[in-house]
Amino acid sequence: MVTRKLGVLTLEYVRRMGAMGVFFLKTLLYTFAPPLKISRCLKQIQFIGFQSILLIALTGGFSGMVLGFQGFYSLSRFGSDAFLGPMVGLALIKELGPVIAALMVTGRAGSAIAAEIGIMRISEQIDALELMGLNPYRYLMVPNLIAALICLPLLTALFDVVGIFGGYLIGGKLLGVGAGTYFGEMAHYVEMKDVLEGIYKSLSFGVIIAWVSCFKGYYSGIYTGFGSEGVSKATTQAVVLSSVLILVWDYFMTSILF
Amino acid sequence: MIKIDNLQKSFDGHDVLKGISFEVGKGQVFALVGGSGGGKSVLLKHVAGLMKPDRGSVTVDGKEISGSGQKSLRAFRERLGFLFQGGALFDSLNVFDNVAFPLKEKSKLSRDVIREKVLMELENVGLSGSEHRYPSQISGGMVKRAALARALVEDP
Repeated sequence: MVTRKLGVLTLEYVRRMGAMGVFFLKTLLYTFAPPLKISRCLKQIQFIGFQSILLIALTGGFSGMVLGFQGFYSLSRFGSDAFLGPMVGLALIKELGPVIAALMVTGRAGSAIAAEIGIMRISEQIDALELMGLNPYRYLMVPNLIAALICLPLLTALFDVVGIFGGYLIGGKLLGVGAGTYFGEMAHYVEMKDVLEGIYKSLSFGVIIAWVSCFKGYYSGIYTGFGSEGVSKATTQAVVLSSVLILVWDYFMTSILF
Repeated sequence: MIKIDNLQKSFDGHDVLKGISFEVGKGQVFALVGGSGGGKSVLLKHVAGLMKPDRGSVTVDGKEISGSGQKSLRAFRERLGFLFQGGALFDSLNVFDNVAFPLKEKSKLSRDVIREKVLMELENVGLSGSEHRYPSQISGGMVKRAALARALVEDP
């Protein structure tokens, strides 16, 4: 009996993973098949990107300030506080910038995307689109994927820049590391491949956020139950799964790009 | 002609449609009557190709809907008018844009012609003057009437 239940559960999870894979491939297919709904894309760029600027700047600034404190404390033990700039820069550009920016966007925009599409599903708005002979992927998924691909690298860059200045505010202005040392050493040690690593990561995180959020919303009536409770579960699952996937994928990307 | 043959559908082990069979001839007015939760909407969704049956088939004008691909399903839906129970209006669009949506997205009509057609449909359902209001700002009956206007605006 237990084996049977385990088998049923395993099959169900394999089926869902297959559905997620097919969903992603369909979204990708329609991304490259015209026509593109440009007004929808712009609307989502405004929502995912522009409306996240303040949140990203705030979290980036404080992350950089914390790195400034912790980095100075650790490096001064070895008499290496002159390397505070490269430490803050590399930590933000290669790792913290892409990951924290992606987690912030997941919490702010990913949850909203899943909820919006979920409500459209349970109120039959997606069925209405299909009955009009229109493709829901083109109207709902593709604009979110394109917007996430455009916005995530830009938001990550903003996070990095504000974070680097946050680190300078603490290291340079408060703890006495000179601006020349801070930025000079950073320019010396941070290379273009480090910046590219951050960009590649942010692009892949954008795909994860759009993919998971849209999938959870689109299938909210089927996998999480109907009604407001179903949408609520879908939204929670979208945030949790996106966050976990971002961290797991970050490990794999780091081990490949290291 | 619509032909339903031995249609069966169950959700989580609960049988909703148990071998339904009937035919609706061309021009015939057909009313499907039944208790709440009896599967009327589920049956109609099978006719529109929104759901796939566990068993049986739905055939419209000799073409099987239940096994159709997306392309032929889209062509069939072009000829279909469907009014959802809850209206299914897009809540981010106002009444005018909701009714105009299928025309704007699918037809090559000019903006003036679309405007004329939409205003005429809204007048037909008694919604003149409500075109700038959003679905959340109108009553349930008005939502249904707006949805009816949207279903008819393409002359299905």
